[in-house]
Amino acid sequence: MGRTVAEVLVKALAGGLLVLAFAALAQVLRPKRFAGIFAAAPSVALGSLVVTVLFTGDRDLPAAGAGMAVGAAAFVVYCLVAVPLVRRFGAWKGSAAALMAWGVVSAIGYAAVLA
Amino acid sequence: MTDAARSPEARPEKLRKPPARDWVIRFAFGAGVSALAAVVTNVWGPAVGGLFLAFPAILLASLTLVAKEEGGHRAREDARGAALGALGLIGFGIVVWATTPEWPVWVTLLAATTAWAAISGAAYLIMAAGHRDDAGKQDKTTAD
Repeated sequence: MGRTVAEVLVKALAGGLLVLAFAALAQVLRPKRFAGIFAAAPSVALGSLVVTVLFTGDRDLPAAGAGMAVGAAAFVVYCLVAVPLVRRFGAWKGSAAALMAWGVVSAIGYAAVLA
Repeated sequence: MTDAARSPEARPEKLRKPPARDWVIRFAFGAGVSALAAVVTNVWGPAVGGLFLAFPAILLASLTLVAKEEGGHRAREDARGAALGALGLIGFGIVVWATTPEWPVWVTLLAATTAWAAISGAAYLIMAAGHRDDAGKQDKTTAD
């Protein structure tokens, strides 16, 4: 139990730091559309997968990679849906509403590809 | 030339612009999503946890902060760019899935990150070239 909690906390720390690193890159790059690429950088994935390997080895990596590919396809749909929703409802409400699209596409992708 | 068709450039002085609170928010979102993915992995397994390695919460934070500081147009450009980055994330996941455990872990993660950068960068260049063509045709029409 203690080891699991430690793994979650180390993943949170690693993910947070990598998000900051990619956010700093996005901050200095222009034009904004190019910088936006770094808002979908593999920051959380790199942090989580490295810590997973350190704690439990690489046996979970293929399944995590397959799940991530499906989640990333849903992420593309999220971005496409977010653009008109942000225009209509503003940044916070529009991008939060677009999360529903991510959830629906992820669930369909999970059922079709991973289950 | 439209903003989207411009060549990428770095402006290091922009790093000083956001207040410390914005960096704390970004760190909190990154740490929160990582913790969520870890808990989901422990409860439902690595495939479901993997979905959350591509959860767009960080973009949600980014869009909100960019809209507040630079306006809605810049936030929508951020989302369009993130779609290109997310295309690259699909490649990242496929490389991890296809090469583990045949390749050493560090080679797998390096190759996956390279695949993300190559796919995202190529998608941006194709999109920017399309914008330049459109801008060129509009200029020609105006001149005629």
